[in-house]
Amino acid sequence: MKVVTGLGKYLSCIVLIILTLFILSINSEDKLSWTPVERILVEVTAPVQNFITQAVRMTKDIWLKYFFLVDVYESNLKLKREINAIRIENARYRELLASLPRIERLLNFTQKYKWPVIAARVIGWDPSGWFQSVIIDKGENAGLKLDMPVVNSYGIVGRVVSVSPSYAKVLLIIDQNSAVDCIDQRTRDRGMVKGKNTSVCDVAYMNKSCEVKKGDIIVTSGFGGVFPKGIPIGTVTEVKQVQGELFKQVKIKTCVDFSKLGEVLIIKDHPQINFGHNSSEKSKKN
Amino acid sequence: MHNNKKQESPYFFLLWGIGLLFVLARGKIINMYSSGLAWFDPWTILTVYIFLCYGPKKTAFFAFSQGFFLDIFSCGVHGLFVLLYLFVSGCIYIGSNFFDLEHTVGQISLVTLVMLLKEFMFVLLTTVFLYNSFSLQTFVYTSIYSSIFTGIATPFFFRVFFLLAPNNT
Repeated sequence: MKVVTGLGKYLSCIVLIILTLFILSINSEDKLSWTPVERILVEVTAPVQNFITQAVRMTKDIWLKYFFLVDVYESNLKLKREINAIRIENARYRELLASLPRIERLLNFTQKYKWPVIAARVIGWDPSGWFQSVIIDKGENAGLKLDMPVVNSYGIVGRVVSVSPSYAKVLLIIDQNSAVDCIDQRTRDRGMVKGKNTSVCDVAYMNKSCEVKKGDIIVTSGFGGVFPKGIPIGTVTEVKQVQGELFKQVKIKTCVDFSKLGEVLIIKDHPQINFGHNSSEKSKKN
Repeated sequence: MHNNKKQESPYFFLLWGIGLLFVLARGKIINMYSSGLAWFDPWTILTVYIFLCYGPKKTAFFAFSQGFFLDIFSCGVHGLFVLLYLFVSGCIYIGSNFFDLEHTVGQISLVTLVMLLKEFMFVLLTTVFLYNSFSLQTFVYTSIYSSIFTGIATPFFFRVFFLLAPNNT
């Protein structure tokens, strides 16, 4: 049996060698294409190979696009948060930059007039639509009192009509209930600026004989008891002489753009007026 | 009709808060965007809606408190808006007998009419209590525009309030 087995081994080796030589002899003709047998083998084994390749690719993809991207996703979120924070910061800086000229003008105003002032920010507007007033973020705690004049770098804004510890209400000069004693800066003619709820105000009680003309600047007279003298109110836009009337019809456009009111200054004290002595009496409007 | 409907009190306070929010923000919105928005009166719409859902007592409370806040933040005489919105709630109470507030036409008609009466009352009160009164031209234009604008906007706001309401009751 052992002889047969040993012979079988040799035979098997010989068959394999012959087969190899046969295959080599076939390929020796420079034909690289698969033989029919090879084709069959390829057809059977290639799908497995394909499966393995796909599996490897999929694993790689899962690793790269999922497990690996978990960090990317988080870093993306972090970057987005940083961008948002930078955007907000940028908007804040832009806002600060935009407010810089206004603040510079306010500073110039304080340097020009030398009155002690309190700076405040407008935080609210009259909700009714019928009246013209604003709420500012300074009150009694900052030293505000009733009837204190409120100005900005362009001119007169209004006066304080209500005060709480931290906030105050300012009646704007364009309100129907507002009246400011004024003079023409050029001719020194006196009148009374009355609000009409728009940026155009009437100047009442200007004598027929006065020489007011279009383009004149109207300033506070200092006689009204509230506003100091010489603060710009507006520019004359229209002068009419109506027959049979005692006074000229004068209209002015206010120096202050009330639609863009942001920061204001409250004059604490000025030579003409000493606030606080009769505040309760002055709390009545007009 | 309001007796048949039971809405929860928190929703009433939400509506009240919306009214207060309008008091605080309306001026700024008008100033920022358009003066034409001043024609729209949110408090009258809210008052009508509250009357429809909660009845006259809560309506009077709403009118009084909102008017009070309007007086604080506005520059009219104190009590002007309280009186005005109590007058509005009175008009709604009477008007509800003639108009069906459950239907769009009734809502528009009542709000438009109430707004007209409100504007008339406003001019009357400012003439009596304030030295200066508004010009007739301004009054007429504003009254007509705000009445129509608010009246037309009412069904839309009613729909929004209805959708916001708990269980859409």
